[in-house]
Amino acid sequence: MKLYAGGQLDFYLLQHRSWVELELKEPTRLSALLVELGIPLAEVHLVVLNGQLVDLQEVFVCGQDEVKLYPAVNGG
Amino acid sequence: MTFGSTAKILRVNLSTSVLEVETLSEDFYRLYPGGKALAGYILLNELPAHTEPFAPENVLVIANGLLTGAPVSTATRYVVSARSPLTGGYGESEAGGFWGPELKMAGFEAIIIKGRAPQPVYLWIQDGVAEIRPAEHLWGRTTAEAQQAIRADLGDEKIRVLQIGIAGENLVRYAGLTNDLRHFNGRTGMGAVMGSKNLRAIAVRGSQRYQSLAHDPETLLTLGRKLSKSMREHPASWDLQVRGTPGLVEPLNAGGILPTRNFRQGAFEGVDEVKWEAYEQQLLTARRSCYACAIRCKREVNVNGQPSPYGGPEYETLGAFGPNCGISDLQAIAKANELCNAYVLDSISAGVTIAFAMECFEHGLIGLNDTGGIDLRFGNAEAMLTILEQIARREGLGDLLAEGSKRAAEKIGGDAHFFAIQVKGQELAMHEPRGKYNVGMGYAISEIGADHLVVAHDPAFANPEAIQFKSAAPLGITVAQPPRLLNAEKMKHFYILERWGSMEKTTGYCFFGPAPRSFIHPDDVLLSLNAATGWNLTLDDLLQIGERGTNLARIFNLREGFTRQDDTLPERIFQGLENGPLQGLGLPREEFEQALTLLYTLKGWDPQTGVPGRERLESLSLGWAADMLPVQTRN
Ligand code: SF4
Repeated sequence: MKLYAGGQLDFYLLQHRSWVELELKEPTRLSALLVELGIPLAEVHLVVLNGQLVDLQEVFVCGQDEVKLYPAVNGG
Repeated sequence: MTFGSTAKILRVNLSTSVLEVETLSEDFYRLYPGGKALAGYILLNELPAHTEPFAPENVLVIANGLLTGAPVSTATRYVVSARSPLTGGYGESEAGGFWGPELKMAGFEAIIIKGRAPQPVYLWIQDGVAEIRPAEHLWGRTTAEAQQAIRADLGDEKIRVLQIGIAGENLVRYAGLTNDLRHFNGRTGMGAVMGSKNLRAIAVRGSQRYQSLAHDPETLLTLGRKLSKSMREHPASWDLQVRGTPGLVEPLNAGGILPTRNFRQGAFEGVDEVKWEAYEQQLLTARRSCYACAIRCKREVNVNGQPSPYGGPEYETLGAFGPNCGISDLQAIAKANELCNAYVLDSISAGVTIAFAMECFEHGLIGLNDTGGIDLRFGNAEAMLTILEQIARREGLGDLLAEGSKRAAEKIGGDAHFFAIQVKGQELAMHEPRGKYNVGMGYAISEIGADHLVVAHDPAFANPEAIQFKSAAPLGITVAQPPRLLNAEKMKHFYILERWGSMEKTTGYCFFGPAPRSFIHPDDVLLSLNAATGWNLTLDDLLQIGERGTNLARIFNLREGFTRQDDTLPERIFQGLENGPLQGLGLPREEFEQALTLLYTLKGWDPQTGVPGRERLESLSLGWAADMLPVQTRN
């Protein structure tokens, strides 16, 4: 799957990369994956899975899924 | 001695060419420590009610914050205030850059400008000495040309120039000021007031250092160093460092709150062409900063492949000329930004007024006869650029649109008023209030008309574990709330955040410095101000400083005849968005009115009329201002 860490969420990823590709052998709970990657769940405001807004706590990902994460955006 | 301040104000009468220097007492400065609060005090006391904005009697105040120029990241700001030609009420606009710090180094906290010069002039200030110089040779020129000419006149390339452009000369009601060609006092038409005074520019050069003014310079320097380091490791300022404000486009679009086609829609199909990655590939050449700021959120760009002498487009400009006009041509948006910088137009009001005209055109309220044959539909980038030129020069349809969307709608008639997305005459910024209700409340209640920087935005306070939410705890925000809700707790958030924001505008902090928006902990904000002044302020004192500023501006507006009916939102905002994740959802009108009443009560204002109560004013040491309220409104 491909994961995009939008806004300041790339702060938490290795070398501050915005995109990471992951090989998933089976459907995996996204929240567990993010914890493993070091992205604090409280900082994730929106999750877009294959173009649709979804609930972070409920969603499983696998295979060719594309996930985009966005933080709470606070003006400016 | 007043620590942290030069304690000097320069008074300029352009009608008589008299220049005077006034010294502030420490007791006075402690109540009104610069910026918003100082400007509010001066305007209420020195500007008679109902003065025409373009009359020589209008008073233009340019005021540094207390901390402006200190060696602390983001302490860079100054405000420009006067009666606004756009709203008829309190006018105010802040900017950063290097000019404010340079003014302090030249010995002044503020400049008060009255009268009108018989011929175009500019002001030259160097180390405590000021002079008025002729500026006929600058009139009609772009800001880049004028800056170069002033520096050549005075023989110093390091002079900092604050100036208007041809939009201010032509009295476009949303003309602004720029310093260093890339830092803007965009809002409320302060550039038009300066233009009406025949004042093209204020050039400054100073050699003082802030440390020599500070009560405890060592602590200030140590704090400044600590903040520069901690900023790099703080997620709340990370996006500003890497992308700057253009990084907002994509996240806002994902949430369905990217204003699109004059706020009809919340999601833009062309977002990939205007988001940060496109900006980085097509425009970006370098990153820059304001004075002593480690965040470096400013961007340098190429436009149509050529290095631009002006700064790159910020998010507001990208949004206003891009999605809000239905335009995805990034080079055209960058060109519009360049024109706004060369002529000094507020890019928010300009973009939203053009979007208004596009909607009027599509509804047949204006036709090809009015546009001079221009097909002014959403998405037509060439038409947008042509109309923008016309606005700055007040030519063709541009002459009407230079009046702002509210006045233009009154002239056009019919349903045009519905397409004017403004509050108190000032156009909404690129933040969709239907997805963040306290931003909507800020638009409604702000004394300057729709302003997106009244409070930090709602999404930051939705998750109790989020960094930004937790950083607001010292201010008293402890219960998380959803963005799309208006209740008593949200109004408590608003009341705290509004005072905090007003304090930033008074002390000179940029919105992108202190928590909860960014990385400077409230205790460090406090430490910086105490190290500068030796005043032993508390956080409560800082909130009081902020509250003083908002009350002064409120009284100014009441004096001009504003009422509760002006604290509202455009009709469209109470109706549903046409697309995106929030499709069909509007901001609920009844909840909004109830919340407004609650907020008035928290502020110590009459719950029905919004008139500040004498008791609250006296608790803020503003008893004198209660006597300035119109007699019929006093309670
Ligand atoms: S955060 Fe950006 S706008 Fe604010 S002072 Fe720093 S460089 Fe200037």
